[in-house]
Amino acid sequence: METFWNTISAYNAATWPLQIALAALGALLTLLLCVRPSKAVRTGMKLYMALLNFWIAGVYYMIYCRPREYHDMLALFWAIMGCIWLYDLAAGHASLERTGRHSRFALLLFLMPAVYPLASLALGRTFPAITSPVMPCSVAVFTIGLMLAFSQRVNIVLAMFLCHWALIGLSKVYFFGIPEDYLLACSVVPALYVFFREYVRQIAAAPSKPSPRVLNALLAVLCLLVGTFFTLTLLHQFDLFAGL
Amino acid sequence: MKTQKELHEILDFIAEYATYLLGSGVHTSRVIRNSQRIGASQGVDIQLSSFQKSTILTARDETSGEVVTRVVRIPALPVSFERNSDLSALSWDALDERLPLEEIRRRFGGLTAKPRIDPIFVLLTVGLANASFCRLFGGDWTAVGIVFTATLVGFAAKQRMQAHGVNHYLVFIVAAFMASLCASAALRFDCTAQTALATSPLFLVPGVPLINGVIDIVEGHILIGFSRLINALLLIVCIAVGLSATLLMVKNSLL
Amino acid sequence: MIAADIFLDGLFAAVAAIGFGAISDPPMRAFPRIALLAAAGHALRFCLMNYAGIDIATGSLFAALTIGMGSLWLGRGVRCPMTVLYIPALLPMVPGIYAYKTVFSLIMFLQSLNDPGEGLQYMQQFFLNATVSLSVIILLAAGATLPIFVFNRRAFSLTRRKNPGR
Repeated sequence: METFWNTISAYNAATWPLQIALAALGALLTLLLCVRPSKAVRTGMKLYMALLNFWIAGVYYMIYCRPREYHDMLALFWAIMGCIWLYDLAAGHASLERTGRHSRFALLLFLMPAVYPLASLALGRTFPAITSPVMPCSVAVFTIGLMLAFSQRVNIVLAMFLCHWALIGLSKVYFFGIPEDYLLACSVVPALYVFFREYVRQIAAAPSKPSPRVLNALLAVLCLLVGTFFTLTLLHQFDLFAGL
Repeated sequence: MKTQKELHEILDFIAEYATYLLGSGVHTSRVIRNSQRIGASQGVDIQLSSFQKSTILTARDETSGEVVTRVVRIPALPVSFERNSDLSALSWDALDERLPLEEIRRRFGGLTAKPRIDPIFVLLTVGLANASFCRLFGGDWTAVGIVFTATLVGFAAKQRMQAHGVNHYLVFIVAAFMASLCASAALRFDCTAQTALATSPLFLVPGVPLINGVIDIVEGHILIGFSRLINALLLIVCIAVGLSATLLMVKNSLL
Repeated sequence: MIAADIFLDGLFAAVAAIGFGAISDPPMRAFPRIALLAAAGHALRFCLMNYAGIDIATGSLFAALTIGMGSLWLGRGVRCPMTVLYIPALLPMVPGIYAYKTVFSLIMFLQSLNDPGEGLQYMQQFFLNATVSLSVIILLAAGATLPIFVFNRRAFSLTRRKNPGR
């Protein structure tokens, strides 16, 4: 716990100008993608995402989070995600066309990186020991928003990676009491729900095995399970605070 | 009495049928019985012996005694139990209803064109399955959750790589590595991390070739049985390699 | 409490069998029976191991025999060959923890080549775990396959329509 906030302070204190630059670049690219989507912008966005993931792996985990246990595993995790973006670029998948669906929800997710520091401040923390826009969880939320707003076909491996990250976030809430991580879990679950609903609607046209009814039932069961997990974590969280 | 051309047509169809079954993970003696049943419905005696990559078939016209032989390559198809049941039922229908070859061929085309199981459905159910597997091994609920998402990552990676036609040994190594890497996140928390690590790559275990290999050996098709077992064993070695890559990184915290 | 344990064991085994079975694309109509067989088999092994003091290999053999007989009995109703029902149902009984420990002790043996005492200990663990996982897998496959040979006439005609010559 102590190490966790110490590493975050060191990271924020040393890199805040670069973080602001990265966040601004991200905002600019997102705007361009909305207003004037072209091939160059899409390529730029993918390169930017790869850069962002490598930044998290290299700068955040390998340099500033060295005191934490398992920083190398986490760095590897984010480096793999960066490689997936590069592969995506090389193979020309998930072409980042604007789909126009769920734009309000996606907008909410785009604003999340800005919400993170605010949430930290609201919880009574002070700079530099706050969650900032260029941190694993904020980047994960931003990626989800990007996939939701712009990709016709979601890169499923990447989506699953983020889903895994969200679950680790939830476990962090459960064990260490870092409520900011709720934000990620709360945005990933509805996003995945939207992905799967969309998918079920797409395949409903052709004969499929199993029928869309079974798929929807499976989705409902999953939602129920995830909901139970959430509730249990929340209750445990209250216990944690009550015990303090 | 059949003309040479008719005999060839029958043999060609049965060759396609038998290799399709062998490619879809059906054990050898069933393929032989099914093929002979279709042959019998056409008044032709079929003998067949199979290896891992190819099959030798001989058709003999029972009235004229004329013989035709072919060696056919076995296609690499995904395992499909639905094809197994449907095509076995087709062979019984052919015999019981004395179907003409044209009709059998038409039904075969219809059955093999049926949609395969939906990949996203498989992805989600495999995640749930591996999670409950973790529970069966005595993992706690945190470990169960982490195994669920780790399996989703590993299996999604496997599906995408297979769709892109990556070498399947490489697919198994990378998928096992990714799943166990994700599961190693459990080490940071106070939970049954060993169980999570152990369970995460188990969705890759090649159960169908393993059991088919044993069945083949017991039924006397020892050569192909061993080839199947060695195939399965190689895949298991690949899983072990992927898992060990993760274990080497985290071994100090497991002792 | 014991009943609840057994029930939960069967339930998780059923979910595991459905998921692992889905990889091999079985007909949708076979899923309920696969789940039932897996639950019965795994719960039986659970009982034998925990309440009757039988070892994992023998327990697996009995469970596999049950699953094999069950698939012979249930396969008729959905016109599926026995293997379609029993291969997915056997998968939840794969001895995963032993397999994992085999790999782990092999790695640790290779890491401790300079320390003969420690190396010996890991080698021993390696052989112990490898023997258990191998024998369990072989007994699982053999046990479920046995009914095919005993009742081969019935086993070979599960996919036949009941009323030939319609």
